[in-house]
Amino acid sequence: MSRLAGIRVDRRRRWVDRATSALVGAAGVGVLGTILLMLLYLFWEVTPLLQPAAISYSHSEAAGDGALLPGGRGPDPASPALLAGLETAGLLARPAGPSVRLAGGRAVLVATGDGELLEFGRTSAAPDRPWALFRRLDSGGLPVRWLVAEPQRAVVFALAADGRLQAWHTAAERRLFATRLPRAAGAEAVAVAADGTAFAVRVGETVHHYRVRNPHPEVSFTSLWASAWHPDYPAPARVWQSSPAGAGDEPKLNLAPLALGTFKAALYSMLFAAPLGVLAAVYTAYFMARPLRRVVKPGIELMEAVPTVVLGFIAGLWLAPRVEHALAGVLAAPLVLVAGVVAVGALWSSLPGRWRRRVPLGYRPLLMLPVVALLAWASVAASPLIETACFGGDVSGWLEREFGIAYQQRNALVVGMAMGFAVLPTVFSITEDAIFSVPRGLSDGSLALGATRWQTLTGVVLPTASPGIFSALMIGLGRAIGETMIVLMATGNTPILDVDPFTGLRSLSANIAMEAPESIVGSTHFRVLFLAALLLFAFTFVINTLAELVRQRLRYRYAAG
Amino acid sequence: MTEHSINVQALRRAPAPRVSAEGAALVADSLSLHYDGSAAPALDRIDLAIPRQRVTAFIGPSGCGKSSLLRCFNRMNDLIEGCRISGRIRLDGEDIHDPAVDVASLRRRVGMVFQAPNPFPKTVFENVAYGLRIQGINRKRVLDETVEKALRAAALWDEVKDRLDDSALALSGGQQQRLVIARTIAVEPEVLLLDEPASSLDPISTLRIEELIYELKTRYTIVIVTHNMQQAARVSDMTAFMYMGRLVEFGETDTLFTNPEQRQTEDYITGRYG
Amino acid sequence: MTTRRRSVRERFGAGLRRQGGDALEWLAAAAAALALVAVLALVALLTVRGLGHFWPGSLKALEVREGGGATESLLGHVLARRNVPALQLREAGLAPGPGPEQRERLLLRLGNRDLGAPEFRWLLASDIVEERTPPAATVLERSEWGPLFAYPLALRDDGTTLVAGDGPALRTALAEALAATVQAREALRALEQGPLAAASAALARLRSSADPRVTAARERLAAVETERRSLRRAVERYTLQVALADGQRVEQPLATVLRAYQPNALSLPARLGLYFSQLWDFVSGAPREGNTDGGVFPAIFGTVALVLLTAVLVTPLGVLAAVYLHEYARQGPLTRLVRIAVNNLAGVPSLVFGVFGLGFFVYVLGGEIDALFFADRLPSPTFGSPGLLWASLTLALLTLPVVIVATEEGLARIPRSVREGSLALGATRAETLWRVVLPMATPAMMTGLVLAVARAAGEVAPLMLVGVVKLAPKLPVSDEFPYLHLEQKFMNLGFHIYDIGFHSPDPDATRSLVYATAFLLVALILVLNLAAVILRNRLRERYKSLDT
Repeated sequence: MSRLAGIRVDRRRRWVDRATSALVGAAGVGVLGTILLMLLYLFWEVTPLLQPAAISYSHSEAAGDGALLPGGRGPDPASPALLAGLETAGLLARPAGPSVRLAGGRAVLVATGDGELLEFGRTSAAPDRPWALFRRLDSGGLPVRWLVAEPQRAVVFALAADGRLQAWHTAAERRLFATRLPRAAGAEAVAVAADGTAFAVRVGETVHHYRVRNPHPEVSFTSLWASAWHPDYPAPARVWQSSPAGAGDEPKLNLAPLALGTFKAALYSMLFAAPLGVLAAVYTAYFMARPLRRVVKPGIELMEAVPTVVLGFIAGLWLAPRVEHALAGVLAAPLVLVAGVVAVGALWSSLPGRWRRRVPLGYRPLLMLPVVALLAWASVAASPLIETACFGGDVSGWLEREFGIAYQQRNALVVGMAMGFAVLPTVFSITEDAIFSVPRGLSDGSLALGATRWQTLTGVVLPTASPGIFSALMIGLGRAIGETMIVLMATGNTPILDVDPFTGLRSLSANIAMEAPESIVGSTHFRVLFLAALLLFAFTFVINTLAELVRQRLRYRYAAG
Repeated sequence: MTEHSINVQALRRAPAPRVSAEGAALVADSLSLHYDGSAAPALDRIDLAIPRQRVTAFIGPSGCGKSSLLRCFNRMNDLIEGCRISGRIRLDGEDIHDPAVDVASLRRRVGMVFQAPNPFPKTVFENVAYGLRIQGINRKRVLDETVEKALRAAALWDEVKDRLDDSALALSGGQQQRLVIARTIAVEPEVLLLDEPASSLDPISTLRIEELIYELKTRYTIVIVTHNMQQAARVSDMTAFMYMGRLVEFGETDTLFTNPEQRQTEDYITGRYG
Repeated sequence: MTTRRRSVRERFGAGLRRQGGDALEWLAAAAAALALVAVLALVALLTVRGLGHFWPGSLKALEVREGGGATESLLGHVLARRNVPALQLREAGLAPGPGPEQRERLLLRLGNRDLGAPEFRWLLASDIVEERTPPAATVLERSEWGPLFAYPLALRDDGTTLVAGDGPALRTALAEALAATVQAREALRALEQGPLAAASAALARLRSSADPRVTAARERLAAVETERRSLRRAVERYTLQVALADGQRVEQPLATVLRAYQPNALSLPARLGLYFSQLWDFVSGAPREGNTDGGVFPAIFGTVALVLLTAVLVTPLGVLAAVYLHEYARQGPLTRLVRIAVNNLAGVPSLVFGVFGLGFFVYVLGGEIDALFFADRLPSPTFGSPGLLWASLTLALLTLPVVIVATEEGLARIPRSVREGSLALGATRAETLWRVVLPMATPAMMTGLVLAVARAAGEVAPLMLVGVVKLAPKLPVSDEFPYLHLEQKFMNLGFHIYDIGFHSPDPDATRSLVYATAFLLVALILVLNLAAVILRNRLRERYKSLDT
């Protein structure tokens, strides 16, 4: 073998080495880049919502005979009769300046002499008082001369005689801009384009045109989170209604009911998953016989893989009607189970020793398997009895009478059970790992001091494993918050604002799944859906990071153990 | 502790023990090594020349730096993050830290056997052939010959000649360690570095390894790190005693064990500390 | 706090304390048991309902008198029996009459959707006067209008009666006629898709020029058309005269009949044969009638294509990224950051990936691709609308953490000494990686890949944004260039469940179909997961001896 040949081989090897390094490095950087790209892209789609609106001078031309802006909208004041009616009702105390009709005439914005903008709207609160003061907008003392509104959106332009201009989105209570409009002093007529991109003012025989950049006026903190009064509503409300109900209606994009729905679903599912998952994990890790554990643990963990669409359909089509049918039994089941299990346990302990020894501590779940199944079945089967005994024969009627809750078949309780089942393996698995990895020496030490098994568990093992349990619950919560299909299928998807267990809900994720495919790219609705996705991302990111940090601290703290 | 520090201070002025650089395979020249996060250097200005085709043993208490020094000779310390080296090491007069030196080629010339046997999860044959295959040698005949030669040299051939296609992990610990030695000598290195090669083995396997070292020294320069002074006395020609990152004494094994120059060496080999 | 606890302890004494602990231990055991019960119940429900869907149940002939009116004759499958409180029935406007508090109700599938009466009907068990299982009752599965339940009277060939009566002779004749019809139907389909399409396409190509070959092509087309007419006649030849439960006579052409059987007269082997044949039809057939009937093959195909494509995309990136994190990167704050980010990515809701996929992949990337390469087709989008490629990219992103975490776990299990052994022999880092480290990590990589595939197969929510449809006209793979149509929309098992379960025009009709589909999906995913578990255990066994 010549020396040269050796060198050539080496050169090839070195090249492969470098290429591999480059490839591997690129993959690492690529992954980080992709994650950053995701985050940045979501932000990028949301940021236009925060961009301020602006108006700028475009051009001037001689006034013609027709409208200032073809297809645009000029002043559209409220009828004097309506204003008089508002005055008689005591709603409008001060002399009214210019006014403009909004939302197809179901609301009206009136400028008062002292620079306040008052919005009145039709309401269904009381038949004898059909109009109410919706909101006051403070223009800061602008002596309004002209008031025009866009036909599609609740965007109002208030122009003073000296050319000062303010634009407002009334429902969002957002002042879009306040500026002095060049060449607009002493305007004799004004108009706004139908799509809101142009504004025109006639001064003498000249029409001045202005460009308006105002793509997302309807988004503000108020419109996204706070309650607002909408025409034909009885009271201010937080409403999500992305496709307008009638002509002149704007989409109502309040995220509060969706966020609440998300937390409601997550809360009820954690009510199921947390106690069950943690207790089952405690038993499996601490008491269960090793051979049984080797079967049980993967068995429960395998359930993590069951597609949530399957759980959702079982919840919606199988569970929901049965829960409705045997509501009393389902509600009584936790009590029946706890009482029954304790009773059976006490009974078992009083059995003679040779019987008791047949089932050692580590195999008790096998004994409990039929007991639990039987108790659950008995509770559900006894539902009519419970119903007759406690609820006058009809739980949903009783709920309606006592609490005013209209029972819905697909409700938070059903979601809680189904999503609890989905989250259970996550909580179980991480908790189990945390408890199982507590060094045996710790609990042996406690037992050697004369503590009982349970004392050792609660006094030594659980505190040691508590950060792990905490992170299990956090990760479970994160999963419940982001879950889509179960919520989509097991609820009525009604965006309501309550936390009752027997009503439906709509979560952020289910909402995105339903509406994103039909949403118009770049529209406010589209961007608000992205905002919802970003919120979900942020929620779960914070929760998971928290869980991770706690877990790392745990590892650090007990590294010596 | 204080007493030792004083001794070390005194040592610094003592003349460094040397073997003439003529005929030396490896020469360390004022070699120091720092790990990130520790104030004291792991190796402190080591000067040493390792003679060709002899067995050199490094002895000293745990943490004295003997393994670190060994790993310097084929730059295995490059793999440890936060490890800085100053000074020079020359292999046949060539600086091994020279940017032109290819680490892979260096390690082929300076083979290493580790504390615990670390065969690859491949067959016995593939383990030994590995070093050749990565160099692009794939001819069946060459491989067969080399593998047999290496296994014979490692005194393993008779035990595994019928099990060449079995997994190397099925061998016993002592066999695995000899397999690793065979794997190392298959690429025909000039120097063999042995890092406590028998520490995880039973006495009989240890004996076999020692016999093997004895046989191999006719062909290779061998450096062995050991905890076991009897072992050092049995297998080595030269011995270096190290303490707290310094080379305390280096000389003929017989001399060092019977008539050490330094008091610390004497304390150590008589079992007064370490 | 402590003092209070102590006083409680003192009051109740050690014995009670032990009993309290005992009770809690029992509760913990019961919680573990309950989790198991829930798991087993889910599996049992899916298995029984999903596999039960294909069981040919018997047809009941019922004489029913409701509300004291006239007697009615019904023929159908009993799908469910349920006990309902009488109160609830009264509220629903039914008159259960006096009697016990609980009433049994039956859900009956009456079939015959095209003949006016509702296909599904709830009955009070107490209204049933008489119940029989007549052996002659026949199920005719049809390609339109669902099944027909009736008593066959006569088989006719172009209007002339071949066999009459309800004896075995009719049954044999029916089977033969049906076999002939099915054969003719297949031949017709083959002709229409093959020679007919080819002949008319050839003619269309020639028509522009006054080519002498036009005549020949026209003749060939005419010949094919003649053959088609004769085949169609063969398909439409037979009709079966049947009597419905109420005695009404109906002519059912065999052209739309897929299968005919007498469920009440079936022997067990025949019943089993029928069962597996229906199961096979479900797995291999296309959906019919707006997904309410027929099979799920396109959904299976779409799922498999999606999952394979996802695996192809995610594996190299995930494995290399894990190698970077574990083998190449300096273990500094940046690497920790990447690792936390990857872990977090695993916790990000799948839907967020869907939103990203829709916005970035579909609208941004897809829009760019369309503008660059498919400008001639604009404004109708090619890649600028949801499709297979974007869906699999989205899922690849979603499953990336799974692959990375599993591979890293595998890499971490490889002892450092093995790497050092390779390097000490003069191997470069790349050689150590390719020849020692990656082969040793293969089972871990496979585990990660299988888990990723299982996750991708069960994911629905993001797909709803990036390309799944309820009914895809074509499979994403065809014999037309480029064979794999990455821009096409596709069907998916999970979405199929959602669609037929919740958007079906007739929920009763599709309910058992949903169970069957769900069983299929869950079985697929559980098998994949089990494979991953077994792989992982084998890995642990294999390298146990190297662990120190």
